Amino acid sequence: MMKEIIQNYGYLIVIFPLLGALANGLLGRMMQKRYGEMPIGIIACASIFFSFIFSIIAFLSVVSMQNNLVIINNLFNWISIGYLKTDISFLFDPLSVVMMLIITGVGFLIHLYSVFYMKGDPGFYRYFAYLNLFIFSMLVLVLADNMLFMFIGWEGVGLCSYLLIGFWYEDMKNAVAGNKAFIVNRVGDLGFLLGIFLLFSLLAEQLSAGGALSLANGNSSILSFSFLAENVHLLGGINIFGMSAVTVICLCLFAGATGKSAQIPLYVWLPDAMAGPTPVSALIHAATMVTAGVYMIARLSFLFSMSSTALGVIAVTGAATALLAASLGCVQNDIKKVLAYSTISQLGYMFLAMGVGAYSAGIFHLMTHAFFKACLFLGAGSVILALHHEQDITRMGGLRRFMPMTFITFIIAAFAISGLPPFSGFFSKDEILWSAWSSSNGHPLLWFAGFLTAGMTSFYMTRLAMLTFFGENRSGLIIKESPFLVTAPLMILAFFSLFAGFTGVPEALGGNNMFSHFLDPVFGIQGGAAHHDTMEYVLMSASVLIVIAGAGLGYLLYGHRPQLARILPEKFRHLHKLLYNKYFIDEIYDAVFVSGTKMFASFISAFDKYVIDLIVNIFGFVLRIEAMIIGWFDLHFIDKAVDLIAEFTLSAGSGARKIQTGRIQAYVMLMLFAVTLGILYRLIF
Amino acid sequence: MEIIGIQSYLIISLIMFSAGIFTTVSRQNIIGIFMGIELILNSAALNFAAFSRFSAINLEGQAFSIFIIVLAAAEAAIALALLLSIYRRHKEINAEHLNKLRF
Repeated sequence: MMKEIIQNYGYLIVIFPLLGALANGLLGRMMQKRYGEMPIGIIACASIFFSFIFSIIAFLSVVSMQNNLVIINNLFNWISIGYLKTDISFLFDPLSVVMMLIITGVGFLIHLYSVFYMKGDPGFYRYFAYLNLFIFSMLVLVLADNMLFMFIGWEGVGLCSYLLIGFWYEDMKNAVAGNKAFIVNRVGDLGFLLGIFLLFSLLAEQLSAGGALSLANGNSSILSFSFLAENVHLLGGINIFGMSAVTVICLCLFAGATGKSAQIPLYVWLPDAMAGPTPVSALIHAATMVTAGVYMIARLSFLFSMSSTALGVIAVTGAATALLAASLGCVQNDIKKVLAYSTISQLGYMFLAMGVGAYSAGIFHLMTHAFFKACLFLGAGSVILALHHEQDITRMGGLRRFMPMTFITFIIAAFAISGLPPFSGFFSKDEILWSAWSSSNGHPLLWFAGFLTAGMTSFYMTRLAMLTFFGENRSGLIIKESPFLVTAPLMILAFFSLFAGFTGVPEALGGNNMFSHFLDPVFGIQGGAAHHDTMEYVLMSASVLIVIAGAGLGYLLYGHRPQLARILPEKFRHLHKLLYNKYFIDEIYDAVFVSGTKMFASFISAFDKYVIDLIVNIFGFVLRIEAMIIGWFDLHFIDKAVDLIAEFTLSAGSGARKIQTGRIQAYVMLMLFAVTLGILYRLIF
Repeated sequence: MEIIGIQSYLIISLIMFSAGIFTTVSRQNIIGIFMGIELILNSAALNFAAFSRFSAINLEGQAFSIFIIVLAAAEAAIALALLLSIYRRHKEINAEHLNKLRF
């Protein structure tokens, strides 16, 4: 019964947020003026809540199915040109329902939280319209049944992130951050689009060559995931640019993923995305946007699995990003920046998982990360609100006494992200690390990068918690705990940060890895044998130990001996400077790409000014001369002729005028004379 | 037997026409000119009647004569009305002096 509901009305999940966005976007201004903020908040939250309810139904119906585990809600045919046939249809399978639950669930909590956070903002309605649109785009991305439809969501997410990061656009800094996010994403999107084009054109070529055209012209569209999964093997033998076609396609798609999911080299927009309101950061970092790239690779796992080269690139990029971002997170002083780098670092983990073919582990980490990162960001938002928009952690401290609820939830989430057992982050991170070691695509070096990152993560999270919640109150403000509307989402998220990990307890620890087995059908894994050997316990203990070591170091530096924390940066001045300035990557990008583009633009501008304009001016000059000659001819010949005709007519008229005397007798005589003349003429001739 | 042939009519008509032209050209008084014009019209009407009488089977010529008479009457009425108003304005009807209708 539930299956039928989803099969026929699954699209409602996507429609509710869209309606909310439309209602708030079109009528919000009027509503806010007339009825205040209440109805806007209710519309926004309710639309996501309905969507969440339907997501639960979808989840339950997928879970309750015996086999296949796929429900498709086909709405209508969108494009049908030649081989290109695309439907607007939604795909419900274990992967998409998990994503959907995260998006709507975490999204709903963030909406609730935002109602308080954005109170009194003149752009309240605008904010919620964007927020709903964001959820809508992300749901389209996740539920789309084919790549073109997915691309709509992909672009929509980029647009909404731009709108929300630059939400307070009166401040130039925020507007620039929004632009940066949008432009950097655009670079990645180009890769994604090229990947889609390549995939489509090569596959269409293969299909028509192999006589499988009838299949393509039938019911299935080439770019739908189910069709791709069945036919992508046709691309096996093709080479382009000296590489296998699959590798090229995968790398193009991965370029898109690096843009959306903030990986090297396109991660630079995410730290700047802090310019938006804090709940937006929570939304971007936890539920939407940055997970898009991970989801896309998981969705196309059948394609990526065909190219070990591409997987290798992904794994190395992921590991490098994890390490780099974690090292940057250790020295930042802005509470949101620290969290931003931790997001990049955790996304690196997810890509590492994708790269070693542990797709379900990556998605598992995506889920647990969504909970604890949303909790951390909302907690940070709560702190920032209490301190009247102070974001510098060196000016916080001692907040645990004033904000107990925020403190507890924040600490739980911090433990989770650090990967302490039994918090959720431990299970997901451990599975990724184990896969990095043991998988056929894995390598001990990849494991080591992840291992180091785990240590650094726990170090900077401890540092963050120490500076924010322990020690003396350095802000000089009287601090109050945030209201229930803020702490309730925090508590729920903290609950999941604590317990979500138990859905995926690995076999080695006596669990049954439920989460991963739920996703197995999507990734084409037929319930493999339970993998565990002594090595797994060794690695697990090692990672727990480094986590504890990192936390201990953090406590030592920032809790126990604060003076040490002041000395160290001076001792390693160059290293600190390098890290604090983010390896000068922004500056390098600025010098190479931004200045390069600007220089190119000014060169083109000069070219336009001095070469193109010159040619145009010469043409103009020649034309002017020509016009002058023609004008002279016109004046002296044509006009003269016209004048002559007029003068002749005038003089003839004045001659003829003399006949008219006004005397009747003269007229009669004239008439008589003329008639006589006529008669004589007739008589003689 | 025809005592009075078509020539007689035409001669009478010619005399009337010539007299009409002469009157029109030589007279100073507009009423005189007008009377000359009447003579010309009537000579034309006589011609119509005569030709019709001697050549045609139907009475077209006579019908034309009647039209001419009617037109002449209408013309006379208008012309006399014009003359009256000219006289009121200029206190004379001498054609030599009434030469304002020119460029």
